[in-house]
Amino acid sequence: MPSKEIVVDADGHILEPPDLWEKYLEEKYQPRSIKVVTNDKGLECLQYDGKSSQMAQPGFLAALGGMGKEQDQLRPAAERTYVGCAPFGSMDAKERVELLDKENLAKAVLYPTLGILWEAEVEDVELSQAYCRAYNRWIADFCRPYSDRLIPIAHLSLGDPQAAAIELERAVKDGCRGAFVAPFTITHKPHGHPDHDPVFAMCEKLDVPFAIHPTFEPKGLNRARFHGMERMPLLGVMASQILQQPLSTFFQYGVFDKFPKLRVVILESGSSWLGFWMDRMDEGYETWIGGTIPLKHKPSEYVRKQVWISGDPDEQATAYVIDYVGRDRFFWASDFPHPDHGGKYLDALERMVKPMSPESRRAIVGQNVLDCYKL
Amino acid sequence: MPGNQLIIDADGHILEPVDMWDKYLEDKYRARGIKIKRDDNGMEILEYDGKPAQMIRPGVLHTVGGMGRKAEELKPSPERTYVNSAPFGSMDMKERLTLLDREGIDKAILYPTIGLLWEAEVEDAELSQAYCRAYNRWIADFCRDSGGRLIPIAHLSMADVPAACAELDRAVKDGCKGAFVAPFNHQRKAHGHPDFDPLFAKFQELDVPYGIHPTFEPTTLASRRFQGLGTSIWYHQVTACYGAQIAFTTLFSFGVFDKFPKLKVVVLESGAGWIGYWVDRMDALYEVPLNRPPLKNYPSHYIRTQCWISADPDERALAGLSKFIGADRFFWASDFPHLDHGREYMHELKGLLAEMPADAAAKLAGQNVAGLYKL
Repeated sequence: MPSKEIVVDADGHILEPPDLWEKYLEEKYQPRSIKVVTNDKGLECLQYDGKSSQMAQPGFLAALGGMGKEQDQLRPAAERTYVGCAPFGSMDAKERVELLDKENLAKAVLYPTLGILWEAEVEDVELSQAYCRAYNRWIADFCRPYSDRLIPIAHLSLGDPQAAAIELERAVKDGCRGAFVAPFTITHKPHGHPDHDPVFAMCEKLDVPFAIHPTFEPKGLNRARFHGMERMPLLGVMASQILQQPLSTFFQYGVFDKFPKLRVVILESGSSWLGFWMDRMDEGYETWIGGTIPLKHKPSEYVRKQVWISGDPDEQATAYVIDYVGRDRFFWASDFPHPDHGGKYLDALERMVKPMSPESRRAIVGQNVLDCYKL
Repeated sequence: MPGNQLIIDADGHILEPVDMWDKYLEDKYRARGIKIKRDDNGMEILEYDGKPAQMIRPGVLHTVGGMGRKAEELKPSPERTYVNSAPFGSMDMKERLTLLDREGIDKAILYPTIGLLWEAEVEDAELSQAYCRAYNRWIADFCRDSGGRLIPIAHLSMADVPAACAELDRAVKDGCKGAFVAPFNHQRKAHGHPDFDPLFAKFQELDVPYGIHPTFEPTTLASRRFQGLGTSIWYHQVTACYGAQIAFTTLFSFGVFDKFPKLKVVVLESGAGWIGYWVDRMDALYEVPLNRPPLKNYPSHYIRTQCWISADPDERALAGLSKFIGADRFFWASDFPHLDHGREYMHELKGLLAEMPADAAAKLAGQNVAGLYKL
């Protein structure tokens, strides 16, 4: 990547220290903390509120930092631990900055790892808020010494929108530059539902983006169509659907008219589908069906002003739709150090931007993140 | 649009005559036919196997041919009927040819209307096969004297594989140029599942395309992500592409294309602009060591050699995307006379073709369909 371009990773991850929640949870919730424990086979397990996680299988934690590793290095084994397998830069702020330097990245916007697992299994709304607060205090502390390089983002849980709005205000005062939520809600209320307006209002007031990031999800939300879908190869491609659903509810409920300064960011679910989705949303809007949603303008008009999307750097199709959608809309992200994306993200990024105009390159490699997050 | 350009509608619909199943069902099943009746309020209702359809409410059957109409014209009403609301060209072969002439369309590939509704509610595999056979005999007759301009496509139901194979054989001998299946089946068996191999073998043997076309679906398959969107028509319209996307993907999950290297797969009425993302993401997932699919080549290889996708003509993102995927892969379709798309499809098509290089435009306009279906 030419050094004159500011390169920003829009969605990198850290591996939280295993004792984060024990240290950062309010005292009242300490006994109900998230814990990494070892089972009788010597495999690490994740525990929420005193119960073993059903979704994070024993021994799975060691694979979370497994970007670029082969399958036999990711299999559960007693000698492989979460901390022992954490790659350079995944758990230590100073190391992460060194990694950024080495890769010529100006900044990284940071998201959690354990933090995108627990919400699917914790139905206690009060405890969820406490887990979020603990992470948010920790990530602000983690980034504080390098606040121009490592960008902390708060985790909000929409189960209690009033509490989430209050927590957003606290977290942003503490240094967080935005917030993210899961693509599902524990209440099953769509993201755009008016009950969530206090959160959108707070994002507007604080002038920070509202992002949606994929997470582990309660079973049965998406994979009901066929038996055995949980294990079927390639269905990770459905990530686009998982994020399109919450995004679409912003239009269904007219959120962008109510909050014309709200900025929405779509993460880790591909980006080249955004043009398709604009076409599709507009198409529905332009028939009689459009009369059933409370929008002043075509959906694509809001997308071009209020929505950003972060792509995988190995998306070659993005170069072919960027002019149509608008170059200001796209980010790229490394997903470091997670194993579901490849390790050669900088080579991939180089290939991704190669067919693009200099203006588009500059926008997508970093400028758009700086603009959206006001960094 | 140049006057000499071949224009083919890859997915138009007919409205089946009300007495079609009475006339074309085998004697044994006649009493269990699909019927249009009136309820106590004088509203038309659809009946399958002696029971009123649950998914199409009384008095709304007249809306299925409602392309271009306003919301107030689509309200339930005893005065408006399926037949008296059927637009010109939707029920009569000669009228349809006149309509094609008027619009400058050379040929249309035809799909059913009521045939897209019943399968969600009819779980009797034997009866489903009989319903399919009746439609297939009728559509072959309907198109027979159209001078090759109306192209009949058989409807297959996947619950009884040997019966579906036999019916495909019969229907193709009777004039059908291919067949389609719904994006679901009541056994919840993925489309790519090896149990369907005899069907793929039959498609290959007969050298006709296998299509996946959206239909009404059992409500149990719907995403359980959100509650409260039951009546949100626009939301359901934009997300209606998911079933076909998932069914299509399972063909890759199970390695169908290696087993049947001459199989030709068509994705219908689900938009086309997602395919760039799909190619990129499936290829990326193919490289990730966890849960690799049994494919010899990257998924993109099979998409570029064995798959075709039918676009809505208002998909402006397609102009750029077809350069990435390849101009050979795309069709356009009117969806005439269905109410969920706009009436200005020729105008939209002209706009889309104008943004493409001449050779790519000619392929999209009709050459690809003509080539695939050997018209």
